Amino acid sequence: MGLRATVSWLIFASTAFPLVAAEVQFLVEGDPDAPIESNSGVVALEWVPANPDEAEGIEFELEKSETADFSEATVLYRGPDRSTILTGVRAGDYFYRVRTADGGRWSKPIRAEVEYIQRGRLFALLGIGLVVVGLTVAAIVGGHFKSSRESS
Amino acid sequence: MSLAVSMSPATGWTVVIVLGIIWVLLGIYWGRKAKGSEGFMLAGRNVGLSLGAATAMATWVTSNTMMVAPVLALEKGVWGMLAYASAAFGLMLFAPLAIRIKRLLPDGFTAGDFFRQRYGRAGWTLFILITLLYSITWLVTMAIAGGKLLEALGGIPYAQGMTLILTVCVLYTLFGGLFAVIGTDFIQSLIILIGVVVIGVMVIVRLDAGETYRHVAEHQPALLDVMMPVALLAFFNNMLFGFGEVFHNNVWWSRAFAMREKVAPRAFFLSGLLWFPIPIAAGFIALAAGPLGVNVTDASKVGPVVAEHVLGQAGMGAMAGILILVVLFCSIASSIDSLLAATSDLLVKDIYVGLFKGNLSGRVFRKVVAVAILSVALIAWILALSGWNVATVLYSAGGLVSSLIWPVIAGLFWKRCNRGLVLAGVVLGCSTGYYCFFMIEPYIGALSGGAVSMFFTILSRYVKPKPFPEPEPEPSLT
Repeated sequence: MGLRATVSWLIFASTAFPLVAAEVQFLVEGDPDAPIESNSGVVALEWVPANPDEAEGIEFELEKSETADFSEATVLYRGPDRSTILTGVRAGDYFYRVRTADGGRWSKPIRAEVEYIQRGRLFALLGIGLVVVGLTVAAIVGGHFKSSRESS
Repeated sequence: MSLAVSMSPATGWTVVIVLGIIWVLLGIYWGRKAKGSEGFMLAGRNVGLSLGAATAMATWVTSNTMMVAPVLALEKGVWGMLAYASAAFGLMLFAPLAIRIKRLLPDGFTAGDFFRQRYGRAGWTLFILITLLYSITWLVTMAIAGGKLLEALGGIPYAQGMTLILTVCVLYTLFGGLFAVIGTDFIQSLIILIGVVVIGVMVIVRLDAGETYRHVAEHQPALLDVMMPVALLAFFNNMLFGFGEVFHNNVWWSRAFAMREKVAPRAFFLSGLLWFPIPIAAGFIALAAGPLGVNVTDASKVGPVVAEHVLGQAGMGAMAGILILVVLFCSIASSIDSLLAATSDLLVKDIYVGLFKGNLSGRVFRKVVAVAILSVALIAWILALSGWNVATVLYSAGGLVSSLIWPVIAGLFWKRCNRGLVLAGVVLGCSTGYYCFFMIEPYIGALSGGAVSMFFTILSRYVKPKPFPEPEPEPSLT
C-alpha cells in the first residue's frame, strides 16, 4: 500500500516548513526531508496553499520528473483538488513539485522511492501460491470424481 | 475529485425508504411460506436453480465488490481486476463440495453440524470462534459501507444511514427468514447486473481504447506490466481468501442445504460464472479514471466517483447518484441479509440448541430466532456506530478462513485423517496468516495460512490417521 503523505494542519504549521517559503507545500508525515517510500507503485500526494483561508477556488499544477532539477518534467494534474493518488508507478526515484496554476512559485520538491518486492522472494511466494491453489483444486476435483464413482 | 453529494438528503431518504419498504413487504409476503424451522432457516430445502444461483451471486456481490475491486484495478491494473474476480472460483469449486454436503448431511442445518460431526467438539469450537469473528466483522464492514454510502451520495448523516440500512435488512429477515433473503437477493441481483452493465457500457462508449492504452502506458506503466509483483501476489491471495470464505461460511452452507440436491452444484457453478465479470466491469471503471480526466483523491471511492462522472457527462444529473445509490444499496443489502440469517442460524442451532440444549418447539422457535437476529444486528450496529475501523480486521482474516479450506476438503472427501494434526494446522495456519499479514506483506496472509493448514492436513492423512465418525442424521429442531 502506498504511503499516504498526510499530517494534521497544526503539526504541519508548527514544524514542517515555514509557510512563507512558498505559496504551496506538500504535506508530509514525519521527517519532511525523507522520501516517500512505496512498494506497490502507489504514491499519494497532498498539498496545501500557504494561506488556506484565501485559497478558495484556486487551481494547482503538479509536476513529476525523474531528475531533481526538473529538466524534463511532466504535468500530472491541473485543477482545484489538493491531493492525488498516483498508481502504476514503476520502480525508481521520482520528484514531484506543485504550485498554483496561475504561475506561482514551485513548492519544495518531494521525492518518492518506488521499490517492489525482490524478485527472488516474489517467485518463491508465487511458487507457494501455485502449489497451494493447484493442490486445492486437484483435491476437490479428484475427491469429487472418486466419491461419484463410489456412489454410482 | 471526491464523491459529490449529487442528490438532496430528502431524495436519498426517499430512495432508501422506498427500497426498504419494498424489501420489507416482500419479506412479509415470502415469510408466509416459512413454516417451522426448516422453512424459516432453509427455505423448506426446496430452492430451485434460478433463485439459488441468484442468491449466491447477489450475496457474493458485496460493497467490497463494488468499492474494493475498482481500488485493486486502480492500484494493480489488469492483474488487480483478475485478482478480485478470482474469488468467483470459490463459488464454482463449492459446486462439487455442495454435492458431498448434501450426501453427507442430508438433514444438516449449519456448517457447524459438519465440523462437530467430523472434527468433534474441539474442531467445532475452533470453527465457531473463527466463523463468528469473521462473519460479525464482515457484517460490520457492510453496515459501515452502507452508512458511508448514504452519507456520500445522499447527504444522510452516517449514523442515521447505517441504522436505516441495517434496520431494513433486519426487518425483512425477521419476517421472512431465508425465503425473504433469497427472494430479495434475486431481485437485487437483477438490479446489480443491470446497473453494472449500464454504467460499464457508458464508460466504454466514452472511452477511446487506443487513447486509454496510451494514457495508462504513459502515466501508469506498471499497471500494464505482466509481472507486477504485488498484483501477482494479490491474485493467489485473493483466490485463497475466496476459497476459504466460501468453503467455511454458513452463508454458503445454508444455501447448499436450502437448494434441491441436483440444483445446488449447478446453482453455485452458475453463480460463479455470473459473478466473475462484475468485479472486472467495476475495475474497468476505475482504470478509466485517468483517461477520463478524473483526479483520484480517495482510492476507496474511485468506482462511484468515476461512475458519477460518466453518468453526469451523459446528462443524467441527479439520476446518476440515484442509480449508483440503488445499485450499491442492493449490493450491500444482499450481503447483510445473508449474514444476518446465516449467523443467527449458527447462534440458534449451534449455540442455543447444541451448546445449551435449548428448546425450540412451537412458538419458541420464532422468538429464539428473532432474538438471535436482533442480537447479531445489535452487535454489528454498536461496532459500526463506534466508528471502529474493522476493515483491517476483515482483511487480515485471510489466514483464518484459508486455514479452514483443507479441513473442509478432507472432511468431505476423505475417509480418515489425524484430527489432532488437522486442528493443529488450523491454529498454526491462523497464526501464520496473521504474522505474515502484519509483519511481512498484506498480500500473503491468506496464502501463508492456507499453505500451513494444507501441509498439516495432508500430513494428517499419513500420520496415525483414524476413520472419520459415520455421519449421524441431524434431529429436527422443532
